[in-house]
Amino acid sequence: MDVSRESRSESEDIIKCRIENFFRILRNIQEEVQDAEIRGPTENLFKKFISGVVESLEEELRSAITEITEIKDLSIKIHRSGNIHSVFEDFIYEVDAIIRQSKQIPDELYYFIADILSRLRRFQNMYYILISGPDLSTVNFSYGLERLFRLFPSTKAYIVETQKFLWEISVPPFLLTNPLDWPMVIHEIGHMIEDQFLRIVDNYYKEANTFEESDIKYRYAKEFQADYIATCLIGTVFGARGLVNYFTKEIKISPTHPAWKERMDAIEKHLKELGLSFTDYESMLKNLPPENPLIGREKIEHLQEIIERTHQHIEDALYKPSSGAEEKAINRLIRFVPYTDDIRVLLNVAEKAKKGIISSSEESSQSSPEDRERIESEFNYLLRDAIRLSYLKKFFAPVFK
Amino acid sequence: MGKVIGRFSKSSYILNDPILFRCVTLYVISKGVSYIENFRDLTVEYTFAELYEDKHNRLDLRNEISNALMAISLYEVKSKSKNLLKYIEDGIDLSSSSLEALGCITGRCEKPNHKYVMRVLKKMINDNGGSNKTKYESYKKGFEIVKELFTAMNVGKEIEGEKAQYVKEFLIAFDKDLETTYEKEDSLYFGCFKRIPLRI
Repeated sequence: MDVSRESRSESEDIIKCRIENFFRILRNIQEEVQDAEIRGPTENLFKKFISGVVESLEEELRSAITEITEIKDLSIKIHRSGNIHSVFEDFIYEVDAIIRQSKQIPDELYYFIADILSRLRRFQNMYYILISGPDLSTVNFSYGLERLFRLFPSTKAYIVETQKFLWEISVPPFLLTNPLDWPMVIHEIGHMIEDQFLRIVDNYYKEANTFEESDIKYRYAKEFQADYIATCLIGTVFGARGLVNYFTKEIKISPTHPAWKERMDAIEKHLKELGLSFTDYESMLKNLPPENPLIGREKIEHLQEIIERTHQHIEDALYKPSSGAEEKAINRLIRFVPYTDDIRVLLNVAEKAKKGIISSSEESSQSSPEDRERIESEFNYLLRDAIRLSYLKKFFAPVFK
Repeated sequence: MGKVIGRFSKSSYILNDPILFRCVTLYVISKGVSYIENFRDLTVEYTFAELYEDKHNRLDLRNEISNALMAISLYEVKSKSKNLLKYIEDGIDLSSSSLEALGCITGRCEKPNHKYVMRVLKKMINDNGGSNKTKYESYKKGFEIVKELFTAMNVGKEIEGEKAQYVKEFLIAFDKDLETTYEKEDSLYFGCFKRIPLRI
């Protein structure tokens, strides 16, 4: 055997061994997923889905080895092996990120979302996993895998057939700690409703991934729509916490999103109808950092139609505040007693109740900054407890009856 | 929601200065960010969803190139692989979308269907050195030959060894150019915001 033939044979062996190694890696992923504790209602579905993907990949990896062995050109063998490696590297990273980052999500956040989703009877089968991530955003994990596995056509087909939508919602740590901020996550639920069910924006604008004006209109329209859905489902607390989080912290918005001033203006009428106090709101608006959106809201000529059509689909789940319920909730919270009748009422009055407790404590001569911090921290626990109890009451009460 | 942790920019001076880098890292930690290994991605203006989308667009395109290469190689050895037809389809799609995108870059179409490919091609033509016109023409010629070859394969015709070899080399080089372009940018996500005029 001459040297070049020997070296070629060695290279081919290395490529084959490298791919065969993926069988071991796949088995490890499968075991790790099965042993992991994934918070929330999608745990079993996620495990079954990943298990199915891994089984399909094992089968296709055998074909991939046969194909690589069959072809003659060494450079193509190397190229293919490199691509398979990149795909597996990414798959492992994404699954691993879900396993690690989902552990940091409090159960109560899942209870809160389950409560909101239970009111949307038209939109069932929304499967989602929450992870602690760098920002608040949502991706369809299944669609990501679908594109990742173009090299493995049967696995791609399996994903499309079994789980076309599996949402991965990334929530930043600073939103996780304070239940008052959880209504912000409902904006992401708004995106899920549009992308999985409504597809209203697609009738007016097209996604193109070019970030030219037409594409920006599509993206901005979706953001305005998700804000509107969130406000309808959860009430004024969405806008109020948006202001607190996004105007008072050193956080800037991605250019693919409209300016906050315009976002608030877009839901202003609705916020007023829901009874938001504009004293704080208006003073905050004056202190807005300058923002330079790529296009103004007026350029999205079909926004009003989009909002009206969206409204028709969520009408049965609108939050309608009642002064009696809100008063009852405040009266309980200021005495540090959980309010468990309606999570939406709880979160809409929580800020007011907290301010009431703090101002009472400041009136007393014993009040210190440490006391205030303690009150805020204990109040967060009170909210968490109230959310947990509301969930238990709503979902288990019929069982005990 | 799409906000970002901070706007430190991806300026290399931050990454190259150990003290500044540490300050920025501490800031990121103070904000409670746990993906420190992805530090560079966090400090630019992309959301998690946007990075995810860009990464998968890129992998999808590279995988399509890989499938096209496999199609030629398997066709040459008269393979019975059940995936061969699918790979040939990918080769046809790759050449059609690239030719359409190249046409649109010079303004010869009104409603392009493959805008991601167009964006990538625009960037590759502008950024990979040499004359843009030469680059543009080499891609155009290359994809025309790719299309000819795959059209022949799709109807079961014999393919010329020389042409097949040319297409393989062209696609491997194109894939390499794509990777080089991404290496320079981290992500092509905001390429369009730079408003670089295409100089052909």
